[in-house]
Amino acid sequence: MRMSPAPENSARRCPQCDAQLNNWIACDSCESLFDVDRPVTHFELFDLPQGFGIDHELLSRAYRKLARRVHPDRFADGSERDRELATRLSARLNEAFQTLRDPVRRADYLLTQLGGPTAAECREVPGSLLAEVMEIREKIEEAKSKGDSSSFEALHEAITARRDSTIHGIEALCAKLDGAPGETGRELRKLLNSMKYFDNLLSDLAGDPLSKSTVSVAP
Amino acid sequence: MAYSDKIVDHFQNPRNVGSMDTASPKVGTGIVGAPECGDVMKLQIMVDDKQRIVDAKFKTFGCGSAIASSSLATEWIKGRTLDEAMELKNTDIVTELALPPVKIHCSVLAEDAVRAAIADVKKKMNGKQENAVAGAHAAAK
Repeated sequence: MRMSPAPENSARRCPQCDAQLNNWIACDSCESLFDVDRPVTHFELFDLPQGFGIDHELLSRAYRKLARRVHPDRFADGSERDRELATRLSARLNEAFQTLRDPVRRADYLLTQLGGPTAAECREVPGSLLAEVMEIREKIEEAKSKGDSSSFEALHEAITARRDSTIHGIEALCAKLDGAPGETGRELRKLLNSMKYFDNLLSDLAGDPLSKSTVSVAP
Repeated sequence: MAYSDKIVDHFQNPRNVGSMDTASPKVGTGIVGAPECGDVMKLQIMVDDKQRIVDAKFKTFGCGSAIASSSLATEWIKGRTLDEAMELKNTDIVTELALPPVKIHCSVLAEDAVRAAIADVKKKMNGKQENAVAGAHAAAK
């Protein structure tokens, strides 16, 4: 796991009151807000080491603390600059928090931070995934036309299991990430690319009124 | 967003929806997908002995533009030779359907599917030739 502390952080001082700064966006002493003055990663924003394994308790605590600092309500009577900044920083914080708390989004972000490949650079998926997805699609279609609720049940279970095992695969590869992602990074991107297909299959099933009723009677 | 009448027409009355026997030596199958939206497209072609596409079918699970793009692609490649079909460009689909910029990737998907289907049937034909040659060698021994 690559650690990337922010050494400049402790040496930075508030331009307003000269107090030492404990984070990148707000002064704990005079409550001024700042534009992040260099590209700060989501990990740095919450003062967490860069890596896949994160302490969720620390993440939530850091998020809540910063979110309170920059909450737009606090600056409702402030200058236009402060109001604009509070809105922008809040959005940035939310984006960072939502990204890091979700294992798939965190893996995607970490891979990109470490040099990729990004989703645009590698559009591949593992081996026969597309044929498999097509086959499941056809089965869903068939189950819908027959109104076959037991098939829905089985399909939902099978897709969920495939999705879960893909997430486990993503987690396993992330644990192996160290420095330049290389071939591991490529395999990881392929698994990340396959997630959207599983999500679509599940929402297709869930979007059908029949599937909803069958899911609710599931034991 | 306003869609052109042609997209709506192909979406509501898609041409050539269906499947062919993947195992047939005369059938080429291309399955492609777009990881950003999770759309999957299967496009199949059937060729005669002169490498002319006599039939084309597709199944697309995705947005209306992806369905319209693949529907149009099957219409266009029917009757063409494999070499002629390779000339199909996604930009032709974009122009014909007046696809909005955010949906251009749907036309790319259709082009990729056509190429994958052509590559598949060509592989089968080459394999058959190699088998025939191998068979001839075996018979000679």
